[in-house]
Amino acid sequence: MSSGKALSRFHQPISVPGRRLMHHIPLKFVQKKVVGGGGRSLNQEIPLVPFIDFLLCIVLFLLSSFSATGELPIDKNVQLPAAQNTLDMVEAPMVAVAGSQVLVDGKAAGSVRELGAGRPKPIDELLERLKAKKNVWKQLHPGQEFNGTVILQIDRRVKARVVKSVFFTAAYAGYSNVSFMVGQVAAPGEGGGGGEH
Amino acid sequence: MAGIDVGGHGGKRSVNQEIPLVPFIDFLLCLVMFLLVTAVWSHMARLEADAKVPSPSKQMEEEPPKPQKKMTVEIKQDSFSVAWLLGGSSQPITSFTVARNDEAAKVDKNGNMLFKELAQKIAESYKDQGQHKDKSDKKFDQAIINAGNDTEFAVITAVIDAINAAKRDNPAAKGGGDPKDAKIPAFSISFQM
Repeated sequence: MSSGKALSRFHQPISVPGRRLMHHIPLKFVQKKVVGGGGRSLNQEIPLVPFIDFLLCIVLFLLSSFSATGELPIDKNVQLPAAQNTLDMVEAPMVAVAGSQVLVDGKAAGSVRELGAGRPKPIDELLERLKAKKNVWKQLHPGQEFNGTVILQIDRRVKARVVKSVFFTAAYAGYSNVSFMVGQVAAPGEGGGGGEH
Repeated sequence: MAGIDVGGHGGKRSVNQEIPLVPFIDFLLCLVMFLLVTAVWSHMARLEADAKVPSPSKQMEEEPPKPQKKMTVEIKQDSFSVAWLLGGSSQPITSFTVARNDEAAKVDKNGNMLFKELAQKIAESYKDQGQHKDKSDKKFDQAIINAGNDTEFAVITAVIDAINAAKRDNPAAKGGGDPKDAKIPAFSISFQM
C-alpha cells in the first residue's frame, strides 16, 4: 500500500508527523521513530474498496426489502396472530381492540367493557364512528361504489364475544367486507421466515 | 487504488486520474441510513371475512334462488365439527369431525396455531361438495364459523386459516399476471352470532 509516490487526498493516508513533534522528549528511539528515521515507513492507507463493496451489499439488501407503502401502525399492546393462507393488505379504516379500548384509525371509539359477559352486541360508539367514516368517504368519492372494507386489528387473546361484537358492529355500519389483520407465516416450501412483529 | 493509470510520462501533464471515493462513500452511507430508517421488518397480511347482512332482493321476489350449500365449522373444546348443509336445512348432507389439539397445532414460540388435519379435510370436502369451483363462477361457497363466546381469537384465526387452505381459480385473475393471484381462498367466511 505504501510507496514513495505522492498520495492522493482520496487515499486517506496516515502521514508521518513532522519534525517539530516530540523533539522535547529525551528518548532517542522515540524521536527516531517519529521523524521517520526507522526501518520502515509509517504511512498507511485505509482499504476503501472492500468497504465500498460492503456498503453496496447492505444497500442492495435494504433496497430489496424496501416497502414503499410504509409501516402499518400497530398498537404495542396488541399481539396479532399469524396465518399462512392470507391476502395482501389493502388501504381501509383500521379498527383496533387494545385492552378494553376500541380504536378507529388510532382514535378512541368505545370500550368493550360495556359488552359484559352476555351475548355479543353492537358497540354504539364504534357504530357511530364507522357510519361517520362511511359518510365522509361517500362525500369525498361521489358516484363511486363503497366497497365496505374494514380491517380489524385484534389481539390473539381476545375472546370471541368481543370479536363477534366488533365484527357485527362493522357489518351494521355498512362495512360488509371485514378483514382480520395477521402476521404472515411462510407456507411450506416457501423460503424465508415468518414476519411476525 | 481506484485510480486510472494510463502509464507513460512523456506528456506535458499527467493523464492519471483518481476516482473520488470519499463522496461516493458519503452517498452510500446516507442511502444506508435512509433505508434502515424506513425499513419495514414486519410483513402484515389479512384474513378476509364476509359480513353481508342478507336482505330480500328483487331477484329473490321474482324467482326463488337455487338452494346454496354452506359449510359450517363448529369449534368445540376438543374437536371441530364440519357439516355441509343445503339451503336452510338443518340436516347435513355430509359431516365429519376432526380432533382438536392446540398444543400439537402450535407452530412457533408465539403460540400461533396451524390445524393441518382440519385444513386437509376441508380442502378434500370442498372438492366433493363445493358448488362454485369453475373459474368463470364469481360466487363463492359459504363457510360459517360457530365459535363459543369464550373461544380465543388465535383459535378463530387458525380455523379461518385452515378454511382458506381450500383454493380455487381466481375469477378476476388476468393471464400473465402475478401467479400468486391465480389461486384464491375458495370460501366466503362468516360467523354465526
